[in-house]
Amino acid sequence: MNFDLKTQEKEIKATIETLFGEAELEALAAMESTAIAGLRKTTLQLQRALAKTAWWTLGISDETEGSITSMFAVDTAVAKVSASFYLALQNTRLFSSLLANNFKSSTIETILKNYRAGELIGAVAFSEDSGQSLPETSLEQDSDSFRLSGQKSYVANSAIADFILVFAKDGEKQFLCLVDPKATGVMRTARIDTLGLKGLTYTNLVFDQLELAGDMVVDISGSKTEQYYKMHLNLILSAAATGVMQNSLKQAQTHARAYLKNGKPLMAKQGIRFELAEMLTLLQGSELLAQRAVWSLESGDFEALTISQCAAIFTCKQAENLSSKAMQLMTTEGYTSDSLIARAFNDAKGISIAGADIHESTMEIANTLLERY
Amino acid sequence: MEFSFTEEQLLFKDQVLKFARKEIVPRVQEHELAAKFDFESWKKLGEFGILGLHFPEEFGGSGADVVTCMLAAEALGEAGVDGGLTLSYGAHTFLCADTIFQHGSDELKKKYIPKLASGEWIGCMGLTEPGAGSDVASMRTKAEKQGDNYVLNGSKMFITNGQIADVALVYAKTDTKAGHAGISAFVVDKGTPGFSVGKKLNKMGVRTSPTCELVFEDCVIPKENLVGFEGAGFLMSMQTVEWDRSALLTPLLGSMQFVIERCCRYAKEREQFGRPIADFEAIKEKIAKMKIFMEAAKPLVYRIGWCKDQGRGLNHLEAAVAKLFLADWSLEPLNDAVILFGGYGYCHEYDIERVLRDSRLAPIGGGTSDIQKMIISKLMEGGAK
Repeated sequence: MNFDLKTQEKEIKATIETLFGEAELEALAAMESTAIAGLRKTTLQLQRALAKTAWWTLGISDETEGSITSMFAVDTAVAKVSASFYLALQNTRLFSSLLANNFKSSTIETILKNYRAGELIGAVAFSEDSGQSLPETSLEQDSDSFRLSGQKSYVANSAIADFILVFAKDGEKQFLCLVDPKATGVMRTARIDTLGLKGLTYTNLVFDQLELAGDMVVDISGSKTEQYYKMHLNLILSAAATGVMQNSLKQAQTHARAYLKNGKPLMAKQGIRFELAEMLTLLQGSELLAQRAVWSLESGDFEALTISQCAAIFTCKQAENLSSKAMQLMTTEGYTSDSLIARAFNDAKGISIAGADIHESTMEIANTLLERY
Repeated sequence: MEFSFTEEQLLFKDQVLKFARKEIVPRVQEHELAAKFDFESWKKLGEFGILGLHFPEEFGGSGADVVTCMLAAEALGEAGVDGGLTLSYGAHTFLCADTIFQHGSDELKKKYIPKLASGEWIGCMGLTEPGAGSDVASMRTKAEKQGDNYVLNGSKMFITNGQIADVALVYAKTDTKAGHAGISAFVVDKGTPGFSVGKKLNKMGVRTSPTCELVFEDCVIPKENLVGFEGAGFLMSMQTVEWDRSALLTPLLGSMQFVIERCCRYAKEREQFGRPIADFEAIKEKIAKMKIFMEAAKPLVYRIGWCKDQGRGLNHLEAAVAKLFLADWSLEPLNDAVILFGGYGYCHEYDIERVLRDSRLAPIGGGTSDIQKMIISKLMEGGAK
């Protein structure tokens, strides 16, 4: 047991925090209202700076690139700055991690080299209109190549991605396909306008008999790839939610110190102080649960999936709760649409919806327990 | 960060779980319903080594670390041991015996710790007064130095184990003008002239743990029974508070696990509309919520134990956060468990309502939830976390 960050983790965290100066924060704020071209440019620009830190490659492949526990220990340093940007980065990272652990070819090495330099944006397409269950997007073998048909919904990063990994199936078999979004046979819909996470692009994807070379497709039937993806997504969302909570508490605390009511700072009121105390308690509970979920995954804990689901559900709900509490505390100042807390409030809802089907995860937790006892 | 327990710790937890299920749990309901302290189970806890677990072997303990003590306490709750017995254990071991061990003279340690560790003697701690709870500086009990003795006058309220204790660790003011710095701690033996106990209080939960008032009327105690030095009492009480907000909380964590297991089994047995209620999503949601809450609470609570094992001073923020989280927000999932059991949840048979009643003390004892919020907000004012 050790509740401290390791020295290396502290150092990486400190380095990352220095990367977000005034100019970077302005660029991130602008991302919330930027068109796709601008988004790609800004994402790559900031990504290149982050790629120079050890954080960027932690946990990418099993063999050489270190611990995801360390990675997540540092994650909120990015997530608290911008949930959209953090999720964009983590979608690229998840893409690269799935690629590194499932594919083997010279093309893959080039893609991963670009990732390591911060020059690549990736996306993972899993969800379909039917939700989070097994994909319906189908793959047919055609001698040495494959043909991919179907659709994927709300794919994060897809509008600005260089490559997309697509979950597909052929009968009972499940596959992971590496897709160039500019290839003939791939159609990206217009960017989906969302309430929050405005700096993250979502589109739907349609595949119409997309031809894929044999080495662009991997049979993942019987492997734990889908579970790995879902668990990682849970962890990413937990970190994003925790970042939103940190940001919300900071905004609320700063406001309570500075805002005067009847000649006294708002902080002088016991009700306000107690509200902040509750917020900190929920934040710390979320931080530790999220970190424990990552550790459970990396250490092979038998409950890793359940704990990751618990973490995603708890942190997402608390991010909504805390951002709402912070907005209430900041009253009209928080309610203005360009305020940081309004952004946090909308982002929290987006994180709750993105990827993790909270209802389904809740049922899965219960089913696991009912089976066990 | 790293969240693993050692193999030895987990093995010991498993041993405690098995021991408690076999030796203690079968006696729980009878004593709980009668609101009687279970001396037989107490003796068994002592024989098993739980009551003095963290004391060195020379004092009758096993030299266990704090996290191991917490795991043992969690195992008691997980087995289904009632909150009354675990509260008595906590007050005895952590609030009374540990303070004597940490701060008492060698003579006091030799005299009291082995018998407290074995359970032969039962300890209690007197801090709260009818007019002073968390506001310790307002206490009125006084200890006046007279030659080689101190004379105690005053009373203590809501004292766990008060009626059955052989030894009381009592906080009193040796300097009424010095605020916190005027508080000192004393060991008072049962039967000391001038020391009496009031009537047992009839409580909503933790009913097997006797609670009462301690009264001191010109109670003369030798100066050797001063624990540490004059004026050190407040700091000691703050250190015991860390136990109050960690090891004393872990049985509640264990009880959550106990409730989850019971709910799962019941939901599979109980049929409504031709199928087990476990098939209904509303039931599944309740079960999942219990699990989510429990998993969120665990690292917060164990962080205190880890900090203590690292020898880190007073971890007030961490302790208050853990206490507020577990104590305040455990009530909803436990209430859900009662509802899941329907009419049976409201009856004694399945022990579910007992856990809810026992847990209701958590946001009150050891500093109410409002006190925890005061502590947290005060520490937050020093700067953003």
